[in-house]
Amino acid sequence: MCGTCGCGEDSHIIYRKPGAPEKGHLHYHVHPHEHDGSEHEHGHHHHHDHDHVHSHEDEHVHSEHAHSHHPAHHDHSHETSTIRLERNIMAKNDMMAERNRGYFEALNITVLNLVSSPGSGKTSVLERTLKELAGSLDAFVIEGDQQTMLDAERIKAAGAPVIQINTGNGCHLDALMVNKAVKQLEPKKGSYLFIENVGNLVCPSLFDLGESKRVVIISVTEGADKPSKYPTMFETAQLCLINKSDLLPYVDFSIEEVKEHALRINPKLSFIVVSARSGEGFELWYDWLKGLRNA
Amino acid sequence: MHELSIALSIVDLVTTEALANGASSVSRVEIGLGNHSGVIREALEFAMEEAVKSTLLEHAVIEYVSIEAQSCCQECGLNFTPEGLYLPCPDCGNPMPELIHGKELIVKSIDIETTK
Ligand SMILES: Nc1nc2c(ncn2[C@@H]2O[C@H](COP(=O)(O)OP(=O)(O)OP(=O)(O)O)[C@@H](O)[C@H]2O)c(=O)[nH]1
Ligand SMILES: [Mg+2]
Ligand SMILES: [Zn+2]
Repeated sequence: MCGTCGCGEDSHIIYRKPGAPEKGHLHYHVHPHEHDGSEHEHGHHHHHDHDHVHSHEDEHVHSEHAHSHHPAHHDHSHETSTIRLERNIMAKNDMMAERNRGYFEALNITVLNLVSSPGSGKTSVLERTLKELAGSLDAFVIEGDQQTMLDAERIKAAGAPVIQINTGNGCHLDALMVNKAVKQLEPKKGSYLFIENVGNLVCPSLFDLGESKRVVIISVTEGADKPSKYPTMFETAQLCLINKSDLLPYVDFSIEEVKEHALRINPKLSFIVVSARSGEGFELWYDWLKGLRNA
Repeated sequence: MHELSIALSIVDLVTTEALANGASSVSRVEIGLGNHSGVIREALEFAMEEAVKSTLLEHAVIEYVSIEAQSCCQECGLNFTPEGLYLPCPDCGNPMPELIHGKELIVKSIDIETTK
């Protein structure tokens, strides 16, 4: 089932390489099941379904209503039984992530999951990295975005094979999307695979993609208290790139303060201060990347 | 918004279990949510309303049980209820006591209806 909306299919998640025609058609959400038995008029719009936020009372009324229809009230043919499950809800994603991880390990592919708020510089960091390391490592890129192909076009121009996943309304990539994208992208044995997640500091943190390392990017134009406000992301990352260091003279941002906030959440987090604009700090980032091979 | 994909995972998991047990419908689902699961309960409740439509769970009562955070210090062995997240061990100062409860995102139990 589609991991993004309730429509029961994932055809509105689009996987596309720059220049290639769109696979499948853009899927505008028509959810037939949402219209079941409801007294909607023609042209009834999707967001109507969101208007009726139930309070707890509503919920109960709703269920009682449902029960009153139930055949159990009419005969004795129904039996209720309780099943204890204690099952992890994320298990499916986690399992798929482990499958991805096994595949990557077998092919010796190093996978980086890049996460940040929108606009912190994920694509810019990648562009510079791909250009500067073009001769020394094989790199492949998966771009996650809600809509456009823009980032994929930038990556392609920077010289790396790339596939764009458009998640539609989805605010994160999940392991299944990566699994599908990898099949089309076919990253080479021994390569690096960079996954640019959807710009969002909350949701992607819950979804393991099967990556080797998670890299969180924060830029100096953001608040230094961001790690405290969005702890899960900093907790689950191994490296924090502090980007846009060229702007430090113009903003009120303390590197020490951001480190302090982040280390309180994750004492094992490493930091590299970089500027995708000037190239400052990139040698350290490249050392870190290459170091993953010897680890 | 990731709550919707979590809601769908719940529906998926419950449906699979219910069908495996010969259910004709599900009348109750008990979900355990750790205080530190990264999921907002209100958002999940809302998402569940959408996710259950046209499924075996359509008329199920969804119960949410919150699970309190509990930590264990690997250094000194102390078990404690952390006053806040990401705080050091109150006994020995170890900066990273392990959170053993509070991350849960689980389906605890379900009530199913079967036709005899
Ligand atoms: N001054 C300065 N600007 C930068 C730097 N890195 C990125 N930018 C600018 O920041 C803006 C956003 O950069 P992107 O690389 O597109 O950011 P992103 O994280 O990929 O954004 P989304 O994909 O939309 O989440 C662009 O206008 C970049 O030119 C930097 O190091 N210094
Ligand atoms: Mg980008
Ligand atoms: Zn201790």
